[in-house]
Amino acid sequence: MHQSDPTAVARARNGDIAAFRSLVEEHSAYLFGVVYRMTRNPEDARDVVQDTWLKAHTQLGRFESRADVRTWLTRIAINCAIDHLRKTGRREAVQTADLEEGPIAARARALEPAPDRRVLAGEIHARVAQTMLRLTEIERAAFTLRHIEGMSIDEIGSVLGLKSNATKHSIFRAVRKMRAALAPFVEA
Amino acid sequence: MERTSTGRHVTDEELLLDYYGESAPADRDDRRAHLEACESCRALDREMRAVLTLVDTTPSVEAPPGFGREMWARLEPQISARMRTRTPWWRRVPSELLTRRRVEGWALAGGMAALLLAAFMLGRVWEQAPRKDTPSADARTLRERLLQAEVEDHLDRSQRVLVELVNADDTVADAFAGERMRAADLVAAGRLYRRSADAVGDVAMRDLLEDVERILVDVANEPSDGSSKDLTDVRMRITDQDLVFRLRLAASEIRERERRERPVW
Repeated sequence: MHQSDPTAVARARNGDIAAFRSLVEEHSAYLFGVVYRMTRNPEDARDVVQDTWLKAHTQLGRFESRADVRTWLTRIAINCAIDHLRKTGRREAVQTADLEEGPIAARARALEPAPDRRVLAGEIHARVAQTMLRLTEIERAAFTLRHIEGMSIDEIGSVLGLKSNATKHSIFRAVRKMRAALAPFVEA
Repeated sequence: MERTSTGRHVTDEELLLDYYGESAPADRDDRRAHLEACESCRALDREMRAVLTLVDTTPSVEAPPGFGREMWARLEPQISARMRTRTPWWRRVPSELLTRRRVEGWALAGGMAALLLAAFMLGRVWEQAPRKDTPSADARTLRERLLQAEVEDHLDRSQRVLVELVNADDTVADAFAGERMRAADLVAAGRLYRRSADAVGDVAMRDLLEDVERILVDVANEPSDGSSKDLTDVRMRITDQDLVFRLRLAASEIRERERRERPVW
């Protein structure tokens, strides 16, 4: 967290547009990274980051001065991303069977004797991205926040409005789906 | 096969909580001891860690260069407009009310009576409630809320007149008979609110009140032999400009703002 962040929020709350601009310029790239992992689409990520700032602007009065600005913004961004995904209904139409025995798995096995690591890495990245899109919005958010952003389960629960057990189970389900999808590569 | 102190193998959920450092130290130590002795649980642990490592190898996506500035360029018009209207325009109305004593008429008299009644009722509520702020802050909040309610009431009444006009019977002789007086009552107050909105840069509210005012003025000045053609024309203007919906939306936004700002008694 930047030391100046809570001050910038306080100034923005009092109508200082330059202070709000400094927050936007400071944190937008980070928010793009978080949101992109949810949307997997740069244009959608741009829109969600924009929504995040508009919402943050209306909620400046609710920011607690002792809180971390980036965590506060992440919370808003993740919820905007969930809303966006629900609104657009964007979810990859991939069947579980495809993931377990689909063409990527076959290619991964075919690569076993003489693995071309770059190709294999590309296949793995594609499979991870594909699996992320198959997760429910909540699973995707919970897994992203835990595994990528390193938030604790309690923090994630507060971001998503879930109890601790529900948060854990969302992460468990996400990891289980990831294991099923990546099993051929682990074996390889 | 070695078991944990609870007499069972570890689950993938437990391994995952250990991986993320989310389990209690005692439980984690117990599971570590079990893993040392149990090949099948070690295999499960290895597989889980391998999967999560594969996820980690996925490159992170960077925002394009200058993304912060790009985002600000997208936001700036909306944020600037909001900042300009952050001070709600109806908070500017009291000074106008005080300096324009000649415009009040019946509409304003009715409004002031409603204000006094509301002030009396709210004053009673406040007297019974514990005070959190200073008396002057309470008085200011009370005044702002009453004005807010007054503007909201004006929008509701304007909306009702327009709805009546849209649904009026155009086969009767004087189709405007029921609404002429009500429209005239609303014109003066609406004009006052429109000027206040204009003064503080609330363009959307100013435009809405201006559009409504044009209709109300025409209806108020409509002769008693106003034809069904005139009524059809007014109806078309109301529907073409989506005035009923815009009024409803504006009133509901004020209600929402009022709800958010409402003190907890």
